[in-house]
Amino acid sequence: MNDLLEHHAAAVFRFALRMTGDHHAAEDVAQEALLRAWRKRSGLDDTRATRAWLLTIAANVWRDQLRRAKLRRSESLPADGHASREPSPLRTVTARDEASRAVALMDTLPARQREVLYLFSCEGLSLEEIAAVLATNRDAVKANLHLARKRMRSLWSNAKNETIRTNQKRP
Amino acid sequence: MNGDLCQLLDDHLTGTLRREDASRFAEHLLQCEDCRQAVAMQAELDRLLCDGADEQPGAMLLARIERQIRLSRRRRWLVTSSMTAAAVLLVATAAVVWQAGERPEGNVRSVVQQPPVEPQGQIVDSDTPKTGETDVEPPVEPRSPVIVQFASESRVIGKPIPTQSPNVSIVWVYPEYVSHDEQEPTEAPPLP
Repeated sequence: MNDLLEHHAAAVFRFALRMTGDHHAAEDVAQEALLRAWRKRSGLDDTRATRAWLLTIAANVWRDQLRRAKLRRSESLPADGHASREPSPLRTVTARDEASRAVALMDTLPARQREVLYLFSCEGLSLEEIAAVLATNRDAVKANLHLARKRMRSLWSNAKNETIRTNQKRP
Repeated sequence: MNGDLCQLLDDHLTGTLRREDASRFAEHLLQCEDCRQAVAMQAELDRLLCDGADEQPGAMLLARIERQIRLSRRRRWLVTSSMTAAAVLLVATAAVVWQAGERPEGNVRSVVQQPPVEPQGQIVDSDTPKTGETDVEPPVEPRSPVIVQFASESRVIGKPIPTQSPNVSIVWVYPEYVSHDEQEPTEAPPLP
C-alpha cells in the first residue's frame, strides 16, 4: 500500500486539483480517494490499470462531494454541467514560464474538458479509460477532447499574440 | 485549407484516424499550413501541459493517509475481536442452554450407570453375603451376658422363652422347692 501511495498519490492529487481548482480541496479529495482505494484494494485485479482505477475513485469522490455539498456552480455551461474557471490573479502572476501558463489556460476550460484534456495529455489514458474514469462514454470523451484542444489552441494563440503586443508596446 | 481533410485534424491529434484516412491526412498536412501549425501547436501544448502539471501535494498528505490507514486497521481489529468474542460467548451460551435442555435424559442415564447402593446402616464386608444372595439372618451374639447368682444352696430351674428379636433373651427362672419331707419338687410361681 505504501508503494501505491508513493507512486500514485501525486497523480491523484494533480487530477483532483484539475477537478477542484483548489489546493486544499484537492488534498481532501486525494486523501479520501486513496483511503477508499486502500479499503477496496482487493478489488484491484489488474495492477496495470492501477492509475486509472485510482483516478476513477478520485472522480467519484469529487462527484460525491459535489452532490453532498451542492457545490455545483450556477454558471451555464456545457452539457455536463461543470463550470469553467477564470484564471486567478495569483495564478496569472505566478505563471512565469510557458508551462505554467499553459496549465493556467487549461484550468480555465470547462471542467469536463479540463478533466479529459488532463487525463489524455498528462496521464496518457486512452479514450476508453477516460470514459471509465469519468463515468461517461467514449464519444463524449472524444468530443470533449476535441473541444478542449481547439479551445486551448485558440487561447494559446491569443496569449502569444497578447505577449507579442505587450512586448512591442514596451519602450 | 481543404475543409474535408481539415475535419480530420482532431482525429489525427487523438490518434483515432482510420488507416486510409491517416495516409490521406498525411498528404494533406504537406499542403495545409493551418493544419501543420495546429499540429505543431498542439504538440507544444501537450508537452507544456505535461511539464507544467507537476503540482505536488503537501508533505503531510501521505502522513495523514498513513495515519488514517493505521486507525482504520486498528478499528477493524477491534471490530473483528469484538465480533469473535461475541460469537464465542454466543456459542458458549448456546451450549449451556442445550445442555440444560438435555439434563433429564442425562440424569436417567447416570442413575442407570451407577452401581446399586447398599442399604444405609448395613455393615458391608467381604464375609457378609450380599443382599439377595440368601435369606438366612446371621447369628447374633449377646453383647453382654447376664449373670444371675443365687445362693449356693439354691436350686433353680431356668426356662428360655422364645422372642421375636434375636438380641433379646428371656429366661424364666424357677426356684426349686424342696420339702423337708423330701417331696417331689413342684413348680413355684415365676419370679419377676
